Amino acid sequence: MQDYNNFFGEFGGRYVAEVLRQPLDELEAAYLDITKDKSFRKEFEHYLKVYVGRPTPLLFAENLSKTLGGGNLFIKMEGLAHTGAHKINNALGQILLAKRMGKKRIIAETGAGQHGVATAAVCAKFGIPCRVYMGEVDMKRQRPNVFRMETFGAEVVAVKSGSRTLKDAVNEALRDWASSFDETYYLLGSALGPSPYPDMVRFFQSIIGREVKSQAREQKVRIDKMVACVGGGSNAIGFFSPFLEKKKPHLIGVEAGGRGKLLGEHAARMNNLGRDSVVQGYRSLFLLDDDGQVATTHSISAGLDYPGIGPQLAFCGETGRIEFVTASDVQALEAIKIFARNEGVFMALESAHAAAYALKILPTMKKGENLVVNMSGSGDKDIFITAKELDREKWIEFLKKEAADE
Amino acid sequence: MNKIMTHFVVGFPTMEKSFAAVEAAIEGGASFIELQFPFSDPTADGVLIQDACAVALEQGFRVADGFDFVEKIREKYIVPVFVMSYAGLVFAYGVENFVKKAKSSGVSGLIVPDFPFDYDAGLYQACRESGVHAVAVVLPSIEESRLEQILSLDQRYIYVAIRAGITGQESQVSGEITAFLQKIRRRGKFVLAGFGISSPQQVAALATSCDACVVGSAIVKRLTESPDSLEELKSFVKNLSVAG
Ligand SMILES: Cc1ncc(COP(=O)(O)O)c(C=O)c1O
Repeated sequence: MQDYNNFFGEFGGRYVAEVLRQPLDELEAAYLDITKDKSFRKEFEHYLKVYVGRPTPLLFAENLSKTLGGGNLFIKMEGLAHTGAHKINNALGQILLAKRMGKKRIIAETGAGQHGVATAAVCAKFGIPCRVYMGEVDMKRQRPNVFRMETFGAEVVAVKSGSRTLKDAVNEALRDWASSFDETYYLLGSALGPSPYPDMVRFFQSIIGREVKSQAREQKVRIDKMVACVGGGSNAIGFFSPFLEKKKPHLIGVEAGGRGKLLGEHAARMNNLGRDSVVQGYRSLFLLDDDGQVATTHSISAGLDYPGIGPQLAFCGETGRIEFVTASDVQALEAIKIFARNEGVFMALESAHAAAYALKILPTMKKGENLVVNMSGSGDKDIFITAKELDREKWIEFLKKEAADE
Repeated sequence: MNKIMTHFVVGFPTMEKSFAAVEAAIEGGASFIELQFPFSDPTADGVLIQDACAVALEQGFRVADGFDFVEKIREKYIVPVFVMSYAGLVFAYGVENFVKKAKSSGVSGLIVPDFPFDYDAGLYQACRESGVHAVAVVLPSIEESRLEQILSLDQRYIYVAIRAGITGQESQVSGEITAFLQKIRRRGKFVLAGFGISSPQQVAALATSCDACVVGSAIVKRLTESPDSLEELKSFVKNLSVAG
């Protein structure tokens, strides 16, 4: 286990108004306690197994490896985790922590809705009331997840400020917490925000990377490259975590290239597109306009549509430990089709960005080299987007008929 | 007797109207002007101020306009001007540059709530070097040891948010709050009390325990509902300032 980090180089920190200082100090103390507590780890691992359904498989993508030539492709199947994405690892860890802290209410933000669904599920399981903030734009494009959250008993609050996406949902959760922290636990869903969140989320998500490591050993596979999509960065940092201190394997983070290179057309913050700033309590690289205002972003995937990147990833980008690249909306959609047809694996739009890049570099790899791509989530939540893009006429006809039948 | 600090969002409802509103407040007896430079992500603000910031940004507010605005006030009035904004805007401008520019524009002090003294990216040092007040924001619930650290900073002003939460909701003035304000005041600090203050009654209740009351959302609310009623704004401020 790594030591707890507040700063990653100059990134990270706890840049919050005094009002949030106390709850964050309290959270940090509680977090440091559980990292040393064997009984917590046991409880966490127990529920990871019986509730989340871990370990998730490391699948050899036989057909694509054969067809594309070059290296061998493996898929870490996080989409098989309960509720359909890696988000549940963190939600479970934090709900157990919230319980220990005696908190009576949970708030969370969500983008794609996967973190909201995971949080709503664990709140139902552990009997704590839950409110999820979600941008209005995201509620529309991830409608099935709104329904799932509500079915779990969560209250989903539409956020109508700013760009009405993930960033604004984070703002709204912070505002709620500023007056509710005595009783309320803020269950943040990505490796971002003021410390201790980035490190804590990595801690809970590192189960992904640890499993990959032992599964690769069991399958006698030497990993040469690892590829993950990067929104705020929780699946990526968890997947990469056990390998960060080493020189190998080659780690690649894939950001949302969206539909163009101009500000507002993508959500790629690395490679000199983002600027050093302090937003939402942490210092990192953000997409800003020329006057320092946070810019609007675009991605077909709600989960990657966020202007900041987790501080540890930004730091690893600067040191060169992680390479950052982009995949576009169109490439992500294409990757969904290819993985579905060839491997019977339906990627979430977010994960499909990583998948698209894996498809691109696999043929350039040497025979016998191995690449693992993280399928951070399953694509079930996205059908209202993907069906419209990939099978437009049939889908619209179905929707019309469905509405008429009602 | 305490004084009134009125809070405005620069560029809301428009650049001209926010300037006229500042003038009305000064004529009404405001002793300090607090100007919020709008930021895209105002996490400590309630809906009223959020919306005001959004309107100002839509109309193209730029940081440079904010400093011009301060200069314009200072050319006409001797009233001290404090600038409030968020860490992101200050950091992206360059902390040192922001402070230097503030100084040369005639700003007395800076209030950047998400740059507390121990995570300030150099703000306090830059303020010391330029002779601009760095105003820490504290709450009555703050831990004693942390309050001591803040009180021992070589800064004259302290902003006390009299309750937790965000801007815009009404606050009750309790004995606990006035005791806290007095405690800080006895340490020789100039105490600004704010958050949820909108009535002469509240100002009167705080009169002997702080040096100035900050009135923010109540002003923004007036400018939202009736942006052209400057006479009313002036008498609103007057009623507040005589209550102190
Ligand atoms: C399936 C999936 N993958 C990835 C992400 C992006 O988040 P992160 O970068 O924190 O893993 C999300 C976020 O909603 C998601 O739902």
